[in-house]
Amino acid sequence: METLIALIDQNEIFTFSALVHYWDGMVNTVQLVFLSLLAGLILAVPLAIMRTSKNPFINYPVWFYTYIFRGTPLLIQLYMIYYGVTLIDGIQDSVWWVIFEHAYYPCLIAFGLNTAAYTTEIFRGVIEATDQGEIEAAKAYGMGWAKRMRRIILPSAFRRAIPAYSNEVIFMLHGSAIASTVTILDLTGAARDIYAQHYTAFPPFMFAAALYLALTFTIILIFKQLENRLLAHLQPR
Amino acid sequence: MKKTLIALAGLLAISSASQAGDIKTIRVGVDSPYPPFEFKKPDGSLTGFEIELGNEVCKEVTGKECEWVVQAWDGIIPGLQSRKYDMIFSSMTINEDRKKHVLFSEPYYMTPSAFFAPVKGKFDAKVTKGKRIGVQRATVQDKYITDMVKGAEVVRYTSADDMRVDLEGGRLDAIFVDAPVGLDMLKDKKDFAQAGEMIKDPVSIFGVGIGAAFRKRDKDLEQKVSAALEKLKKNGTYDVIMKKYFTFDIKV
Repeated sequence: METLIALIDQNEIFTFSALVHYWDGMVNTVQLVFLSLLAGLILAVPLAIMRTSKNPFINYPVWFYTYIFRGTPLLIQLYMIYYGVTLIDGIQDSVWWVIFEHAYYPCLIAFGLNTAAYTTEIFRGVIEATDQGEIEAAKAYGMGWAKRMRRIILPSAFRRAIPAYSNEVIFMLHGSAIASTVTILDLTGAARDIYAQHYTAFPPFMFAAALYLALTFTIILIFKQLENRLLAHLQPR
Repeated sequence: MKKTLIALAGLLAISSASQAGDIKTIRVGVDSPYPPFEFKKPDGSLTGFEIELGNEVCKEVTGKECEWVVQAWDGIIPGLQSRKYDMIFSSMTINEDRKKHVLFSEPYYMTPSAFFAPVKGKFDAKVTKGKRIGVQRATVQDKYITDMVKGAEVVRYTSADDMRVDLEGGRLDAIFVDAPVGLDMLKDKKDFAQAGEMIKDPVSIFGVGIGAAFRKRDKDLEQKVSAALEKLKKNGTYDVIMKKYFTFDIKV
């Protein structure tokens, strides 16, 4: 511990206040990513079910939404939602301004809608890949559409979606680095501040990268545990 | 042959010694254009605040105007060291890094910083608690708000353009920038104005200002130029030139 304190005292860049700055940034990153993933997940379930519908009036609007949000860069979506809305006449005096005044909610909206689009497509894929035999068996038991969805299709689909979804979580974590471009102090934003103070790019960004790596590793670990528990029946013996 | 060479060398030594004793003209390095400090008139001749002030300084020291040498900014200190000119008079901020390589005169100007805010917001620079103030990351203005203005929320931007968009979009209570930059940024906007006085203290944050730079060994020239600047500041010549280019005080 004493050697650690001595080490912190010696260097000019990673002072105590700089480390606090990084910590604040990391808390913001984790919070932002967690909340947008949660929002994305909640949105994606009904959207994915709509997306598998045979009715084009239900299917196509969702297809259009995922097409737009998967087809454009997240940075542009964030700029449109953060800077774009200020150009709407009178928005500053409307009730919506509570949401759009600061950078946090626009960022959350952009990230949430983006990850919802990707998650919708992941879920659509696994729902459509549900074994035909399981569905036939459910029908033979006399289950209706809703009961079949709830008891047979969704539980099995969610399990099979875990490996693909863990990728989406990691992409979202790394994508969140652009929050720093709209004044949010996230992990990258903290690194940018330290970088600009010392005119040296390598150590501040390397340190941030190491923290991202640690976060990514934690995510991988959690999903590995989940896969071991929930996908045990699909693993090769 | 040998004797002639020695004689020649002796002659050279004498002539260079006499040059060092009294300065005939000062060759001055400047990075132009950088309006309103230095820029070209339509006829191609240099003008601007620093050109006019520099010429007055040269007249004090040598009795003649300066011999201006235009040099791009990234090569301006190497140009001085390789004797392309003897002085830099080109809005160079005095700082510790540069002091390792060059000798600075006394400062001769400093642009103040100022708050700019929406007119209807009635922003008061003295009441900043809970106010959102935009700055450009890692500028002296950032340091001032972070260290000196307690209770304000500092919003840091990478570019001044993003900051302006957020000020106009109503997301910031004020921005704190270099005064000429702010005045230029908002010159066509009726809804925004400077709020409060211009600020250039404390020295620990804003620095001492802009100085002329010399080779380390040219202490004599540095002293003459500093003395000339001091005289021009006192006798009113400085103020006359300043008022031609600025509506506010940049004298230090």
